Amino acid sequence: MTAIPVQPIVSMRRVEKIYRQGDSVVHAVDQVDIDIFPGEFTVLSGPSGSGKTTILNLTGALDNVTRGDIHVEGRKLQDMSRTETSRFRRDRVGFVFQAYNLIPVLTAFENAELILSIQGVPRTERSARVRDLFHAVGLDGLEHRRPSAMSGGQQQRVAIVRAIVTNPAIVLADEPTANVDSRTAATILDIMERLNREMGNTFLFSSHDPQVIARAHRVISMQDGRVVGDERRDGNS
Amino acid sequence: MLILMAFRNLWRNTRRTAITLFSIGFGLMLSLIFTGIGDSGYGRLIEGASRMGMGHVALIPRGYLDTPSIDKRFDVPSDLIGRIQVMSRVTAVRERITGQAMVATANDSAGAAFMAIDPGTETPETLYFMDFLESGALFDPKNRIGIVIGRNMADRLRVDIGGKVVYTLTDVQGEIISGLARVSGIFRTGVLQVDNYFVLLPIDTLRDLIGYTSREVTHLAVFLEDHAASRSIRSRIQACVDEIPGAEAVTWRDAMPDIAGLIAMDQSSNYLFQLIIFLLISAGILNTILMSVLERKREFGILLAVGISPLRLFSLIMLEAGWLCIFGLIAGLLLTAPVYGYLHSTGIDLTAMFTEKPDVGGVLFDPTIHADLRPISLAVILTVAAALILLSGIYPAWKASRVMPVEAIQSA
Repeated sequence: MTAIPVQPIVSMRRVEKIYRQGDSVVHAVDQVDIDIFPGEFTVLSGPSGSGKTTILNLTGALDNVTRGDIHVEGRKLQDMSRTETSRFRRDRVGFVFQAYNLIPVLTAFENAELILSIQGVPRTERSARVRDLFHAVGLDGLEHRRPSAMSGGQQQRVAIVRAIVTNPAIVLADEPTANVDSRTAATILDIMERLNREMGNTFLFSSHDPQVIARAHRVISMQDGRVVGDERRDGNS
Repeated sequence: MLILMAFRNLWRNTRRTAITLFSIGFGLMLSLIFTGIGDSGYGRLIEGASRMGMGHVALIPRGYLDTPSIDKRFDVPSDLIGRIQVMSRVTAVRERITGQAMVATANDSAGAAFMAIDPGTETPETLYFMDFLESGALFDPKNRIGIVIGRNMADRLRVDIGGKVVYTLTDVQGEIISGLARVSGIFRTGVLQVDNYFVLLPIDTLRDLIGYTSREVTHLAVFLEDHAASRSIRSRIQACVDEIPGAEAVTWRDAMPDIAGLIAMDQSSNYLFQLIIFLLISAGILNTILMSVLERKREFGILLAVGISPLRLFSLIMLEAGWLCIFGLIAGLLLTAPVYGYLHSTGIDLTAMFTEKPDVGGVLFDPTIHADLRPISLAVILTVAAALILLSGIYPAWKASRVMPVEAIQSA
């Protein structure tokens, strides 16, 4: 019996990102080939300026490649129109930012249900989905709080709910534990791991936090915009 | 959800929003009050002028306005007055003959403009002079030799109620003829040229004297509930009288071009003033919304990153402008209400500023400032204000929708 080959969710080929700042040229990402497969819990690790965040931005169609191709779920990002890109981000990608980035005028619950509302999900359904996830991440009772009245850890948990509530193909998390203490970081990682394990969400992190790296199933090491290592913790490095 | 977000965004900087709302409200108040004062003043002027003789709409012989003459006349078909009278918004139709005469007593003589009326049908709503009768009364319909003259003319001719005067004019053949009359009433409008120059005569007596048939007039004066309807009523009357050769229907604007011109000029300067006010307010609103957009650049980057489309971001800012518009209009109406209420009911009496009674084109002008905003003016001002507020939101909204997510998220 032949195993059916698993298609990658994200496929990057010879990806380059060059920034020009005055006369100087910065190769933020240089000739990168990466495949991310469904259900993976992957960390992009490396020092500051190694290109981790740029990889996340390119994968989430927040930025355009200078050269090379990126396919997500088989669709080439460079071929998408502005509207298609918006829809792709809305429906297929979840973002978790280092600084939480919740909308201050919305309550925790409203922040989490914002995209569902834009997607046109009926109120009862989106309430149920957000409530379930709030319960799953331990935010019961905080639904009506504004971000300013929540701790960093609580805000990051709301951000995680916001990222996964639409059931995206991949969750991109940029240094999600950088702004919280180690205990809160552990809690956040517990939640993400559990969501990955129980719900099958694919996570791609950028981090140089050893705690995050220790939990990852796969660690892609980067330096100066290049991939310098790709280690799979299940023994398939 | 976007509507809710827009509403809450408006109150992020309460002081700035309150100042903006106050400036919108204050500008709107100025606009509504000045327009209300204009509407009231123009309305009273038009009413007064119409009651001087021509009505809001007049049916006249063609060319009469260019060269008024007693031999320009037309025969009023027996059913015509009834047909006009039943038109909606028409309140009265009156027969009139107007012309020039010389009025004399044993003491002196004076040139006069006369208007011959049917005293049995006239009311203060159709005849300006009835408000200003100082002594005596309008002639009795049976009194065929009555005449009503102004106080200044009475003084000049040294005649009083019951006194005898002779008026001389030309008849339809161009022959000079004279009529004897006794003064039945004296009016004092306070307007020199009117009190010096104007006389009222009984229409049937004059018809006999100048050789008109019992149905002939120099014009029919048509009075309306509202002068604003004059154009549409004129068209309906014109359609109704196409069978009368040589007759045409005109509005008060055609009949009194000096007053119409004065009003148009005053309205133009008023509109210009309001345009300047609204442009200043628009600049303030634009600045407020733009500031608020620039302050939230990072947030817009986040919204774009999580899947809000640029179009929705544009809509969000336009919704904020929409909320500003709603609250601004409410603020404007709230600020306007007490000022308008006072001006509408009481007014500001400026009599002390005038040494003589002010008039415009021979029509007494009440020196009390009142406000009486026409519904159409209210609707136009609110619409223009709303449009300007929303237009002020377009550039900031466009700016927000053009934000590049990566740059915006990385911005402080």
